[in-house]
Amino acid sequence: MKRTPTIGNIFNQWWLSGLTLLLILFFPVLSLAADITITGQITEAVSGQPLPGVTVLIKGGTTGTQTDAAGHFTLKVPDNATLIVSFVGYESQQIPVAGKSVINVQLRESARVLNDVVVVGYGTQKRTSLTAAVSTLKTAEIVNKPVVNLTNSLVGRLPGLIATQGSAEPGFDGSNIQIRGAGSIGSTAPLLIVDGVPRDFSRLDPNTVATFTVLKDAAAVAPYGVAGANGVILVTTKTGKIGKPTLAYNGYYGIQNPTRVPKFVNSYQYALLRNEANANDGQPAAYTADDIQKFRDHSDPDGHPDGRPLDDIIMSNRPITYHNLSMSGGGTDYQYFASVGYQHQEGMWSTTYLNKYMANLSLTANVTKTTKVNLMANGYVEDQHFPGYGASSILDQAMRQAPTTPVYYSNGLWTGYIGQSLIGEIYHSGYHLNENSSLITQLSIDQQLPVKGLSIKAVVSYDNGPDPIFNNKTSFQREYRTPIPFWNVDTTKRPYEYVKGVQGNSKAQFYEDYSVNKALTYQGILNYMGHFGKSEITALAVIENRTVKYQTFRAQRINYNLDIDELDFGGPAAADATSTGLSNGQRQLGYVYRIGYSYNNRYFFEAAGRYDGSYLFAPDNRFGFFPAFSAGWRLSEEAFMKNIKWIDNLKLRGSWGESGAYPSSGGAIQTYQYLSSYNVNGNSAVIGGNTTQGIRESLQGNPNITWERARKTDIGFEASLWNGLLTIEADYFSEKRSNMLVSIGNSLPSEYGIGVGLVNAGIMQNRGTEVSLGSSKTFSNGLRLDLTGTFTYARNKLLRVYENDATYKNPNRRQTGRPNGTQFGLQATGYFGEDDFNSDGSLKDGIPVPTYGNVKPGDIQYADLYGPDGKPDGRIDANDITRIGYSTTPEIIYGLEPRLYYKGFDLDLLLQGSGHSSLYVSQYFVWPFQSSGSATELAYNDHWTPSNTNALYPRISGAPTSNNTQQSSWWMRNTSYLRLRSAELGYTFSSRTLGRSISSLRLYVSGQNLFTWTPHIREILDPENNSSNMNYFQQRVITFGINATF
Amino acid sequence: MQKNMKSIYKSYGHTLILALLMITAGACKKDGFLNVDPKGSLTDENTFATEANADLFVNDIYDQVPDMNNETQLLDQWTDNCGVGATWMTGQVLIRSNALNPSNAPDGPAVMFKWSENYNRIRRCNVFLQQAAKYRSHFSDEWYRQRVAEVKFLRALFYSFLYQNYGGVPLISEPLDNQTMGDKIFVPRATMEETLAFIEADCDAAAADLPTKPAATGRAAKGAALTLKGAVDLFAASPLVNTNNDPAPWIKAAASNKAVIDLTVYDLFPSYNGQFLAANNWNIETIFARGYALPRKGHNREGKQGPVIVYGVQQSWGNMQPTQNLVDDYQMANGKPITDPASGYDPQKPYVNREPRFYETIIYDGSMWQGYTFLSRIGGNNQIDLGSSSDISNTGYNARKTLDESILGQTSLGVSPGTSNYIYYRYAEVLLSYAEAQNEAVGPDATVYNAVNKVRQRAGLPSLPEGLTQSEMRVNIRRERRIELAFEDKRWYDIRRWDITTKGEAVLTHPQYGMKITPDANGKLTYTKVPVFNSTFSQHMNWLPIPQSAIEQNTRLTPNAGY
Repeated sequence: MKRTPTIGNIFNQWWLSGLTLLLILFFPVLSLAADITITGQITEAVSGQPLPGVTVLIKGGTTGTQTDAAGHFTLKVPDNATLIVSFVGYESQQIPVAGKSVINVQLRESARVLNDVVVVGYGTQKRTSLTAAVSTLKTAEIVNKPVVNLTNSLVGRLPGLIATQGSAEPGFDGSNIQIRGAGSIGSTAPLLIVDGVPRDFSRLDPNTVATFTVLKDAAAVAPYGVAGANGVILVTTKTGKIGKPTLAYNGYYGIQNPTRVPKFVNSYQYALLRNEANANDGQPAAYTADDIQKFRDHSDPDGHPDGRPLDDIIMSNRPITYHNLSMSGGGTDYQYFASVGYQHQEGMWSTTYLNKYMANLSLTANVTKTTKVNLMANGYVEDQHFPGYGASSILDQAMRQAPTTPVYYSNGLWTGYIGQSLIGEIYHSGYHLNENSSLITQLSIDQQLPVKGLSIKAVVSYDNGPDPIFNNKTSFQREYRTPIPFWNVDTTKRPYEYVKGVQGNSKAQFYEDYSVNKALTYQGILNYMGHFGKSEITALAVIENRTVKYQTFRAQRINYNLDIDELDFGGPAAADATSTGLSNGQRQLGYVYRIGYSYNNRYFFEAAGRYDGSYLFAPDNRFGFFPAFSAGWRLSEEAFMKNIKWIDNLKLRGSWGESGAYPSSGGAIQTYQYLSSYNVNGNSAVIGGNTTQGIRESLQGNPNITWERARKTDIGFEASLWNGLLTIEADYFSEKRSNMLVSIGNSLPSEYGIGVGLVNAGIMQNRGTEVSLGSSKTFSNGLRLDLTGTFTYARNKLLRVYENDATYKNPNRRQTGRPNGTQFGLQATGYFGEDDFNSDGSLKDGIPVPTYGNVKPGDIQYADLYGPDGKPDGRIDANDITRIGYSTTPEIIYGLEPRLYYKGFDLDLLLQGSGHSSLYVSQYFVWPFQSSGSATELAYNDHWTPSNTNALYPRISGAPTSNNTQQSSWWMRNTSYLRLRSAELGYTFSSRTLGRSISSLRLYVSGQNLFTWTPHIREILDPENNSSNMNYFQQRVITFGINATF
Repeated sequence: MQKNMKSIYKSYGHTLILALLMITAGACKKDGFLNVDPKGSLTDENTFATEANADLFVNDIYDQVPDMNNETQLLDQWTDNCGVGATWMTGQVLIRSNALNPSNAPDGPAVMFKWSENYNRIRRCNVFLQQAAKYRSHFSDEWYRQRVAEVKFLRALFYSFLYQNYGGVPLISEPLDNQTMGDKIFVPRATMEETLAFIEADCDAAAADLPTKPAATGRAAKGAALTLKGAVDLFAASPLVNTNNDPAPWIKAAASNKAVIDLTVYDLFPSYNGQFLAANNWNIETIFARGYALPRKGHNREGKQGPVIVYGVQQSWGNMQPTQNLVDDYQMANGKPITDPASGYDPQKPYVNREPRFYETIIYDGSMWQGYTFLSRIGGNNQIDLGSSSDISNTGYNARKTLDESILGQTSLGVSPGTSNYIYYRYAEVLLSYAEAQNEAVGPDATVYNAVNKVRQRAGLPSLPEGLTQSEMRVNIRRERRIELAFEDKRWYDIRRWDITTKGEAVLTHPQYGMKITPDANGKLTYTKVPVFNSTFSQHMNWLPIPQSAIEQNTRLTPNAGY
């Protein structure tokens, strides 16, 4: 039966459906869809660590929950609901439930860091309200990289940071870091701060580092006063988080091989080249045809050997390992973070290796409702083991050793060349041990005061470890140097006799050296934050004082009769024992302020500064004032911008201020320059048969010595577009550094007779730009691509450096107006040819005559640019010197880092490059037979001969001639490079496959320095090796690693 | 109850705040907080407070006397006496390659004649003279007179390094002070004559107050001051400086050298080579020397200069590589030069019947060192290194003189155990200097014969034949000087002052020779002189270039001619 609709019915239907709609809208739980209970775990995508406190919301509603300490959540939801998972600092995700009962989510740190809190000097700030130039690095990006020294992880990843790693020797492989290039002719080292106190971060356990922040402009460095002008790198260490205890393991195992090993001639090539040299020099041949044949056919392996020293001493696939176990958790009253780590790295030969043991503990307690106490201790002990001879001495010998001496004879005995034995130095020379230790401890008490928004914090830190400013260390060194046995073959005997020789001491010697560097720092910090309508005011005041004490002593014994490396067992004579020692200290006292005002989260103003005093200066000149001012404008908050939907954030900011730098020269901070003093020398002239003490003038002091003064300007803008698809941050910076220490030595005669205290008179300017780009896109198939890029360009210019007339008046040689470190030398124009000479061997008229000895065809010809009268004078001499290259430190550094995530896989590549840098190459590496050295294959194949006049290297001579080894453009190399600095491929197992005992697991393979492109260099040279390949070779590292949490 | 808790909480909180304030207050310290004692530094006042303190200042000046026994490159390598141990060494790459110029002005062995270094040394002397006078009342008359005299001698010595290499130099006799002296700190070069006079005056002043025998070995005595004066006077009288061959300088040089002889303090030590051993330090022939002492002030001369392969392995660097040119200058045992047909010299038995000093000075093929037979022949254990591809001698010879055979080369390099003196001046030189000056001034009189023959006699050679002409005597004295003083860093000065680097014998524009010794199947040796380096040199290089930096910093300096 069909019922006719009535009004009542209609009403009923409408009412019912309306009610249903309301129910659906407001009471989703009661909706008609079936409810299910889902569980899941939220983890950090890269580290796999569970994330507590993550909000899980049902889309379109208010129902939700937070994850517990282990990252778990349970929620009753409709089976067709969509979850919104969000967490501060992380990218939110929307996940359809689609009937699943277990939903595990991995959150990634947000590339768009609008709401981030940024660590700044003596506190934190919201990134949105930041008016200073500050860059941060996610520690997740570097934590798995196989580097022992954290300074090597930063290049290419942080805009404004220029870094070069000159050597890769374990223990001495730190990068030279400059923030925004070289701002000074003195030290350009940035100030390093860990947890608010000057400390070296480079050798901390990477898994204990929470944040990396680089402070760049005047506003950012203002709280650091006299020490901030070179920029500041702030590191904070991890503290505990509220949640159930979690245990995490991170570790890797890897292998290391040199990136580039130069190739030297074999003995056959060597003999031919030697004979060619002797013929060129008018001397009888060194090797007979019979010798050469034997070198070639290896028929007389010990009499006519074919040695490959470099290849023979470098071992391949050298291990590097790292293990870290950390534990974190806590309740609302207390939180803890504890970690232990172990790192092991082996060198290119087995007698070089290091072991590092690291431990860290952070305890935070809310003692009262208004009082928070944190106790932190972070320490390591590092045992660095080396042979008795240093790596550069070994590599030098390996490149010098002619192939006519093998490394080993056929019977396995090792050889010596020119009295030095490669194998002996590496394996039979005793040892050198550095046991470096560091323990940094800190107690901080944070007390909220009865006034709302006002709090006081006191920090006491006591450190025993490396000093980041003066580079003193706490370490225990032992060196045991034994007689080095080696063998030479006596080919006058038949059969050959192998005769044992000894290099070095005939009896062993031993020393122990203790150094202790201790620093005590007090900080009192007053913080205020208040809101008044749309205005927000923040204020900070800090009083800080710091005392550092350094002591070192060394005891040495020689003439060991017993082969036991014990100090007491040295020779019995009084003269067999010596001891030395010294002590010094540093003190600093500073008063810091920072006041911020913002209106409507749109306009920001800040003033900061420090009144700072240091013991480095004469008593009346110790204190200086270093203020800075900055402002920001968030255009995107303005009404007229609000409806431009594709702009998420747009901010302009600018800063100006003065900061200081300790007076330094030659990279070292100068102490007691204000005193004219005398020094005692404990090892002076022998009078009456005995060594005496001596006293000498040390310096003519400069009582007015003061700090370097840096005036910095920065203009920057930040933008975030298309909902975070593209973020841009760009800065232009300009700095004028004055009061740089210059030697007035140039303005004094060289007959003056003593070093004169340096004078604060140098001025230079440093300008540049830096850009960072970020992009993040998730595709519909789940593929996510993150891209970050950084670019830094910094060029400095010397404005006043007190040159002498000879360089200043010669426009080619003038340093003023050019970048610091510009390399000067003669301008090579090519080789002299046969046609340039008269029949008697003299140069034809009109050809400028070099003043570095007689020349022949195949020698380098130089441009005659200048003479005493300012015109070319027909002579090649010092007047012809001109600019021939950039500084060794690049002006341009860039990095491009794409990261891909897809279904549990992640791939991270860092392409990093540099530009505008030059290296002067020299020694055996490019000059055959220099110092009785060997020659490279390249030199053998491509040197000047009458039939190869377009060669890379000049004619061969028994020793490189003075003319050809002048510092000239011929030996400058453009060391621009592009390298695949690091690559990492990982896979994260879903928790379903893992079972209950493991909450997350990620496996990865990672590489460092995988590929390097140096288009301008023909020599086999790593572009970062800044010593003509004499530094320990840069390494290519490949590791396999695990990140697991339990 | 709750209220009670709250008040406890409150007072607890107040206590905390108080504690915090105290800690932060602890952070505020006065300026005095920044005082850190500069340990290890002294002032004028305490340095010159007592004789004992001021003695330390003088010790330091003595320590500035160049440390030649630790030097790798010695001065004979700059001459026709010696090749170099390694091809990069200054003697070959700059000096005998005609490559000297102001930009590469050499520092000399142990920075002996580095321009700025000598003025550093001179400043120390000047500071002492100034401060000791200022604090005169702190010192006894005897101490003051004696130390001032020593320091004046040392200042003269440092000036003599400059004078004999650069000619006239800026004469600075008080510490320069840019804050009070203004432009006067830029001192132009004095003339040769003024420089000589300055050195002579210091020597005279020193000699007047110095004792004939020093209170302690290592300190200067009267004889040292007189000898130094004799040496510079001889230099000034010689052809390079005395271009007109004016007799007056020769007369003066003869007189000043005779003054040393007349002291009758010195004599020849019986053993020619033995005088250089540590056991015979400060012997009767030594006039001025730098001393050595263990543990930290020893030297490694044996390791750097000794023969390379000993008992089949490398012991030393072999940096002293006597040339065939030097070897040929040794006379036969009968006192005749090998060029004399009556000498009995056999080019195929070149090492037979040579004068005793040859055997004491040169290690040659078949000679013994440390009980080991040194063989420089082809196939030998120290086979002549014609390719310069090792440390083994390029000439076939190594040096023996001045080296202690009891010290193993590697030990020497390892622990610097040598304590033998480096002798700056010894009596034999004075005798030869006197003979040379007297011969030039008045001809070969009996005193000339006596002086030369005394040296020859100690060397085991017959006296010179009677009736030599002045120029024949000159040839003999010059040869005698070369042989007697070989490897003592004198030849560089001698060939220059005689003006024979590019003229006359032109010793620096002729090849240096080595001896290639080839055995045949029967072991018979064939001796062949082979060129090992073609020396080239220019006349103007007889005076070293004033370093570029010095010229650039003091525009009142005039460069030496030719640079």
